[in-house]
Amino acid sequence: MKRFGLMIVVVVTASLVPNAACATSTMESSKLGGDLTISAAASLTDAFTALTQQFRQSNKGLKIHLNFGSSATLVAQIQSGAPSDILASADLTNLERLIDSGNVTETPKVFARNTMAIAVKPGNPKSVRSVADLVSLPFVALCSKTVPCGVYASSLLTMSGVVIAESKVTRGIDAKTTLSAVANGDADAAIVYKTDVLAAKKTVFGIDIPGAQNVQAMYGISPIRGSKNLVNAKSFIDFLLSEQGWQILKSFGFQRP
Amino acid sequence: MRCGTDIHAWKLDGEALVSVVLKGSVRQGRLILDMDIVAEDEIVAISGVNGIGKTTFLKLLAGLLPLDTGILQVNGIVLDDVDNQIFVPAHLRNVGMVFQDNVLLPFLSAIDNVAYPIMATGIRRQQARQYARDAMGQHGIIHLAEMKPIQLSGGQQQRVALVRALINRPQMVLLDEPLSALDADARREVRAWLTVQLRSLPGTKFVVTHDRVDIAELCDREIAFMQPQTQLTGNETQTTIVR
Amino acid sequence: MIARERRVGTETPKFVLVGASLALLFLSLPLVGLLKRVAWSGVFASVTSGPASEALRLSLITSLFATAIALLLGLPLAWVLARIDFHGRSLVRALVMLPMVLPPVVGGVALLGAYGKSHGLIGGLLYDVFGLQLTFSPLGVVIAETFVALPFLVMAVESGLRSIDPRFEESAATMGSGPSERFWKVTLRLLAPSLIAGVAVAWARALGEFGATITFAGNIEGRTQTTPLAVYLLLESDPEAAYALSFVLLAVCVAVLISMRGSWMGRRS
Repeated sequence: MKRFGLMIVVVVTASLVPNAACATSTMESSKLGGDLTISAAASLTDAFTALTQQFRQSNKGLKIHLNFGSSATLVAQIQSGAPSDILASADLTNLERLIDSGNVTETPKVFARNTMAIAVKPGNPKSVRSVADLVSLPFVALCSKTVPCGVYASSLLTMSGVVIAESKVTRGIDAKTTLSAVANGDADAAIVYKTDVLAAKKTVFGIDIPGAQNVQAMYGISPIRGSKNLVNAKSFIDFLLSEQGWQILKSFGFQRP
Repeated sequence: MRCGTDIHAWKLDGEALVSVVLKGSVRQGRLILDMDIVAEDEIVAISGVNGIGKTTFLKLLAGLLPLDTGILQVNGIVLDDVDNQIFVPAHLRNVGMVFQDNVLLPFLSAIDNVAYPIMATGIRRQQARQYARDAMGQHGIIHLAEMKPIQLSGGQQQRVALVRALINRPQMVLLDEPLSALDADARREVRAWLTVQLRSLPGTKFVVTHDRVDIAELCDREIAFMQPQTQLTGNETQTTIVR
Repeated sequence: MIARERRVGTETPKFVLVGASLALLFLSLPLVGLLKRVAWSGVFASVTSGPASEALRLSLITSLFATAIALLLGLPLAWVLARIDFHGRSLVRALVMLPMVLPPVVGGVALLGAYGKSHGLIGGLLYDVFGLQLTFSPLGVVIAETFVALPFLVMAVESGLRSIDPRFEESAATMGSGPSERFWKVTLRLLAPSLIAGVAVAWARALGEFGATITFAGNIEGRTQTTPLAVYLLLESDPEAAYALSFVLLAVCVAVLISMRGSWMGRRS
């Protein structure tokens, strides 16, 4: 009941502010309250944690719930009725699936671009220099074939003409756990997002993949149809697309779409 | 059959005697024993109130319980000597024991129960079962051979347990309240049967019982466990057997 | 109408019946829901081909090995806990129970800390000296499964040992059986119901293990992708196969439980 009352206040206030939907600085919009549930790809963990923290600075009454996982899993959850207000996906394919199933009615907005990189043990003990070198390693960690990170890795390998035997590949359920296999486990290398490699700092050694052989991961975001916190959702998306939001994304290694 | 409370009576003739020297304590000093008896081929009743230590005494003899202090000798052979750290465990002693409630192995038939001690000496199962069969025949319980303990009455279990305890012709036979779990009729019957069986055995038979009729009918001598006449200190129960 | 009560005096209060019915409903609804999702016509095909059949085969083999090892290690441990009084026994028992309360993924991380090639206490040694890498191998799966299953076996067996009347073993001693013979001929026979129960529970736990397996042994199709892992991944790409696999797991467990016919419930002892 209390939440409903708050919603009334928010809606009324929002409608009083001109151009609330435009990508303006958060400082100018009115303070939001209530809840906001964001489902975001695992590779957005650090970036979105920072973004939501910043967003809350100027919206102290807002309670934000972050739900990270592989984009494919998140889509399945939303299709089963999980009460999410926003989906931030690591590819546009998954957002399209939600459009097909009617859970998303607006056109998704692309907010960031990512590329893949190789992560190996600190110090690069096996002297890996390129994707081709991965073939000679005992165990390589890749994301599951059904999640965006895995799909990107597959196309990347295909483009480079590199084939790694499946019996040497350990599949992680999302980007973070895949990387963890190198950082904390016994995998010798992983192909994950560049942003993940950057975020892992000293626990892994990163090797860039040249643009010509690399894939471009397009990250999209959209509010979910039927969300009870649509105003909050749109407000956050505006913040994400703003210059301030972009600076935060950039600091984690994402690129402009 | 002279049973009474005359615990000073001794029988000293003959060979094949069993002498028991037991001087020590157990149960953290709550049971102190000082015993030096010679009992050949006799049925000795151990009487006393519940909890006084009769079963403990049997366990000491059987080797199921070590002494805390003291020494136990049977026929001059040291079985338990705390100061010199000697302890002969139960399976190496020459005893046959019948526990309260019989304690037949529930997963073996009667004949396999009887054969168990024979097999423990290394004899193979076929042969052991044959010996068991003979023994059960002798004691009139062969018809129970293939039955499981749970199918037997209290009296029948009792008989099987006794045959099993005797089969290796032990030097000492220990019986813990052998008739207490039986109803009056079974009791009479088994007592009579037990008397015959025990009489025909060499070696000493210790029978724990608090039933006066058992004592009167069954045994040759009685050792009464009792609290000393002197006053007790606190909750201790000191039992001193005086020769 | 309810089945006849055993005897007067143990009549069941109404609220107990209500509670039991609710419990049954709570448990059975998800199972019914699962069964409803299975596409019956394609079940056999789904599980006998491709990654699903690999996962099933791997699960069955590793779980059986894990159960066997849990038995070999757990029986002696249970004995010591049940029968030997030593300083710190409660601490040891708590330690043994630890994998039961530990979140499975944490268990996997702990296993990495011990047996991992890169960071493990002895894992690195095993690799350098024997060339043995436990992670990413079926053996690693067995290790992870044993780790989580062992406490269940120890618990069942310890409780069984404590409930054995010591007089049976005493009786066997007076009949001339030494400690070793008593163990095989008497103790184990008396322990059989608890042992079977412990083995069954341990096996079921090993079969269903996910977190420790995926963290320690990884997720390699055909080598370390056990059925629970496969189900999780298949849910997105091929839900039909996922439901079919789940059903097979369910059917196997039910079959084993039924065949044991409550023999661990203490009917024979």
